[in-house]
Amino acid sequence: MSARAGWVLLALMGCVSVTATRDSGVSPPLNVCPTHPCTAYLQTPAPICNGGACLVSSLYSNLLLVVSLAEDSDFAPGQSLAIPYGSLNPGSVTCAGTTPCAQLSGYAVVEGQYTAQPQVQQPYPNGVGWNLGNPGQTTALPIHVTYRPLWQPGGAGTATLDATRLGLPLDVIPAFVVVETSPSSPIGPVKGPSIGFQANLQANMSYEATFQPDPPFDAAFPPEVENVTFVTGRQTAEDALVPDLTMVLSGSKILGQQIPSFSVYRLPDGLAGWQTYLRDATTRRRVSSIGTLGTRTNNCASTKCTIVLPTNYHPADGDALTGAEIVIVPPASLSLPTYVAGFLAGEFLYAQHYPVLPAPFTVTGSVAAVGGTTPVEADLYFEVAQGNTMEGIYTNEPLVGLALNATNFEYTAKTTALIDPSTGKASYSITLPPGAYSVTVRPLDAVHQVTTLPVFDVDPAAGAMSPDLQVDVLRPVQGSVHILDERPMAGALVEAIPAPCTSGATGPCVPMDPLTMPRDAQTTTAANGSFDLALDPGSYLLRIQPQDGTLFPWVTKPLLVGPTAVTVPPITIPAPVHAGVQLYDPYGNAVVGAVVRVYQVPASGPAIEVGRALTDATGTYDLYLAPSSP
Amino acid sequence: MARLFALGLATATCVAIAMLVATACITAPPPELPQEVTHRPTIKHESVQPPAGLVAPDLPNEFVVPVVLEDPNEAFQWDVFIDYNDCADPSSCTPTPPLAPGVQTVTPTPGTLDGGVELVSFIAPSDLDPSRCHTIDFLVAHSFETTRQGGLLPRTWDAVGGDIVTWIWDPGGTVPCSLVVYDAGNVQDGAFPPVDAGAEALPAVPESGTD
Repeated sequence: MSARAGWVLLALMGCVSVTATRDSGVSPPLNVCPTHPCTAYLQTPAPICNGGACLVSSLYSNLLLVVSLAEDSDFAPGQSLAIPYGSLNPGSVTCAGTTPCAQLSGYAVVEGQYTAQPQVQQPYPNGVGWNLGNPGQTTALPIHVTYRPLWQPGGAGTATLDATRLGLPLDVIPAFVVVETSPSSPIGPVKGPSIGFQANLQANMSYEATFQPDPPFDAAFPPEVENVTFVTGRQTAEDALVPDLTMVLSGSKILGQQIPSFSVYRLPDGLAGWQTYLRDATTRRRVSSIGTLGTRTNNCASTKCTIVLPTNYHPADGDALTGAEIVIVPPASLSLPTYVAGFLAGEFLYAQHYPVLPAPFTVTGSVAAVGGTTPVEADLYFEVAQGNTMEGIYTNEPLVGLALNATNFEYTAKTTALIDPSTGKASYSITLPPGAYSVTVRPLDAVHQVTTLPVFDVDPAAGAMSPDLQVDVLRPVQGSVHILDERPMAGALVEAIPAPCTSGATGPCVPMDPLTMPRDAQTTTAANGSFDLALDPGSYLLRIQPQDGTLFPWVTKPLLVGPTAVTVPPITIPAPVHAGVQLYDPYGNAVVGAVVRVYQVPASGPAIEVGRALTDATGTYDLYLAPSSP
Repeated sequence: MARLFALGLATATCVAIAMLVATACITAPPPELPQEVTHRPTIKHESVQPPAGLVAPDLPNEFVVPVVLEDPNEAFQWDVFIDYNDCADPSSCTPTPPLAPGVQTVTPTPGTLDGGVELVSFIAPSDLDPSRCHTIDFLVAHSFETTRQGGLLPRTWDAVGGDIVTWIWDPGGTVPCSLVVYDAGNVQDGAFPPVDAGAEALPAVPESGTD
């Protein structure tokens, strides 16, 4: 051995030893053939060795691509596009290599204004009762416009849902506020500047558009909410406020149609400073102007207040109150519940009465570990319980036509239990209106589990029945992951992702309350493919993510963690389908640096992410997906 | 015995000198050998999802951060902080710890990382207080620094370096980000209460005070 060779060897040994100190010691298996023959996979159809990896073919349905473009992209910078996998096509591009290519569709550039005609500004009942200072002229309202992406998981003709409710990473898109300079543009209030909007949206995508008048005009002019779809190219979306009307009845006699109004009161303290509005009963988003109650001469107590709530959200049957609820909101300082009322027995009452409630009660208690006195510091969330009646508490109320139960009240409150040095206990104190609650305990440590106690009664005379709460430790979850050629899947990321929503066999995706959701957790598989997690009880998606570059696909499994330890059935990783594509923008340029996420969107339940990649300098990404289940 | 001890000492000294010489030899390579340079991992800022800066009004299910490795076989570490408080006065508080499970180490499979970019993702807690603005920091480092006592400094990267990206989430509560760092007015979507509806909001109609 020459001296120089010896130096090189020493140097290389040094180099190796430095790297070795940072190695986790777990070498992940690779999808390489013929080193690992494809015939070893216990899989149908059998994989074949293609380009050095064992691959299969598969047909998918309901596969959705979400392409999030880089912020320095020439096309749609920072925007996310949802593209059904089956609709990818080369468009006007000639694919350069062997990888399939696809061209993104052009954007819809939407411009417009939101106007109020003179008759809409007339006093109630003919208008909303706000003169915008331009007599006889149409006026452009200063507004902010947002577009919320919608998706139909069941396909065309099925229910349309918020994309975010399905777990898709499609954010609300705010429109730009622009000052119109065209002489033909309607002027702003009191001959002010003409305000409009511009939005860049995905063509042929459904959005829920919300035109929200700016303060102070939002006190009289309601938001307009409507579902819209646009085609590629520049287009206008002028819109004029036309308040929805509701049928006015007297007994069985129809008196006519008018903008919704209500008579509200509260004895004996009144409603001065309270707020009221109409909201969509499904989305719970406001659809009317905000009415602030009370005047200098009337506090809405012994003398009722009339409040007008114009709305413009295009209900299906044209009646302003269909699918709506009235909400009466107390000031936060009062510790009183929010009152909610809607249609009852086919009638939406004109008179709305906030009942007299017992005085709030201060509840004190502690949080400890189950079976012992070990204090557990935790956040506590109290919520008026659904399905529990308050009728036993709120007695002797004047007839209001509505049952006084949790359906009509919303109240949430939060506190934290911290260790009191004088007692050694994790103590809390909170002021609550008497009633039936559920309480969720979220420990601040990573040892005890998130616990929801469905019954926490606060009696108006005696206070809480059981203020001292107990929480158990996290549930152990174990399992193992193997490749279908029987090699253990070492070094894979195992993530327990809380289910974002619940659904029945055919029902829609109902979002979980974030405060009651279990916490996510992750670990890495050992050399033999085994893993251990400690989880809160609840529903999860268990996602196995082999290391990038191994050419193995992600695999997901639903996971339900109950009151006992869980052993997950063995999880297998199949030979994948290569689903790489080269992406071009509508101008024929490669889409560089875009995050591409692929989702399986079932007809019910949340979308499931099945793979993720980043496009390179040529717009190409490589992605390996598990074949679809038969 | 004294002689034996002296002999042992001499032997040990020789071994030590030999080791020193050997070490000295290794640390003085011939000039034609390439110098190994360790690079800091960096964040591909233009591709993080959601885009850095203001996130509103819905908290994303998952944050995705492309980490660029100049040496695609080099391990790196990352962690996440929510509403980080450095606690300038240690007597009154403690610095905010990283989000569970804490500092994570990623060791790419040698020779396999496509384009030298590792996609890292994390999930923000679902129970962030919706009444106030939140900041979310993602840090990546060749390695986070340790104290002399062996403790980890999860916001201080080693001499090789690291990178950081920050999101600001405005849930539309009573403490909006507009009061802190940003005017969130253009992302209001009709949620109640509106971010900017204050006491000056006017009644819909003049109150008659009667039915």
